[in-house]
Amino acid sequence: MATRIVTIALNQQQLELVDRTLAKGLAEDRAALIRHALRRYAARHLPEQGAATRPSLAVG
Amino acid sequence: MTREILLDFALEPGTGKALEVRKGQILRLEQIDGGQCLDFNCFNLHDYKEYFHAGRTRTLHGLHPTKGDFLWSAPPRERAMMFIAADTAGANDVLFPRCSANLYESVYGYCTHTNCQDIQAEAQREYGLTPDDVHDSFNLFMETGVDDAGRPYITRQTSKPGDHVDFLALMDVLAVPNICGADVMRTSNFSLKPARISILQATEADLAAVPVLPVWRTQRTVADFRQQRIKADRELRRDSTYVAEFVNAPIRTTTVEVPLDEDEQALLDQLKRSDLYDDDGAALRDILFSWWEEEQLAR
Repeated sequence: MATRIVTIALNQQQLELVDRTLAKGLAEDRAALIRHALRRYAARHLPEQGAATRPSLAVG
Repeated sequence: MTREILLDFALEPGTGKALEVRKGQILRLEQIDGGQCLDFNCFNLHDYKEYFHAGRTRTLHGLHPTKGDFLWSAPPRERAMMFIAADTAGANDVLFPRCSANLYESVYGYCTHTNCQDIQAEAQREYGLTPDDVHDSFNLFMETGVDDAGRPYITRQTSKPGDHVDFLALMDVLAVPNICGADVMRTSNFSLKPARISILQATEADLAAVPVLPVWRTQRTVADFRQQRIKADRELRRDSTYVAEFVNAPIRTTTVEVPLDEDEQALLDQLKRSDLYDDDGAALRDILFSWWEEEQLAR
């Protein structure tokens, strides 16, 4: 499957929040958490999306 | 159980009064004739630099705080100073600033006119405070709103005799109500009237009705301040020994590479705010923290 690399710039405070959220066990690493956030956000804001947008905790 | 009445008097138009209200006492502000706005200032009785903050209160409780809400002190203190134990009119405002002498000169042409800034200052002077110490007011019995264009407005009010607001003190405070001086605008229906002021001893039931609030490390005290001494002169002079100690400065940026599959790319393309961001990283960061606010903020 084709992938696209998106580079996010985060400062130390933003990273702290990401890492504290990661510690809850939502994802395996920062990138996975960000993908999880994308899917969850899409599920809320793009309700017309199909299965591809269904929220899933099994990302990583 | 009946509340013991500790003080009871009529506050006359054109005046205000600084009152010591101790923790566990209730300050009641009550309509006599109805239709009279009151402005209100509040200071920590033992440290006047901690005072009521309209902005903080507005953020937590909206434009019209009412029964069950709190009066909060300004950052960096951010403590609940008083609890609104009763509000029979439901017409409080934390949007508008106090009226001032300049308002009445610049808009109405008055050389002198009753106004909340000057009334507050004169009442606070009894405790050694200056006109600069008057802060943004908590406005009682004041009908306000925001119109479709986003502009705040004041309209006539409908408070009746006997309508009252009870503030239960959660710390010792200097409470300063004043009769709003606005008689040429709608605030008090174009007239100035007295209001009844009472201080009551709260009952056990009153105290039990106050929700328990968490205590946060960031509710700072003077002990947390690097500069603890209050300036006693008006001139500003640079401290030659000053070395900046800003929190978390410098801000450092790290990049995180996020591989998106085709589905995720499609989601990002649909969600990204191209009107705000010209790169996908910034757009994805927005989505990340927007998601966090929606799903993690309250946990």
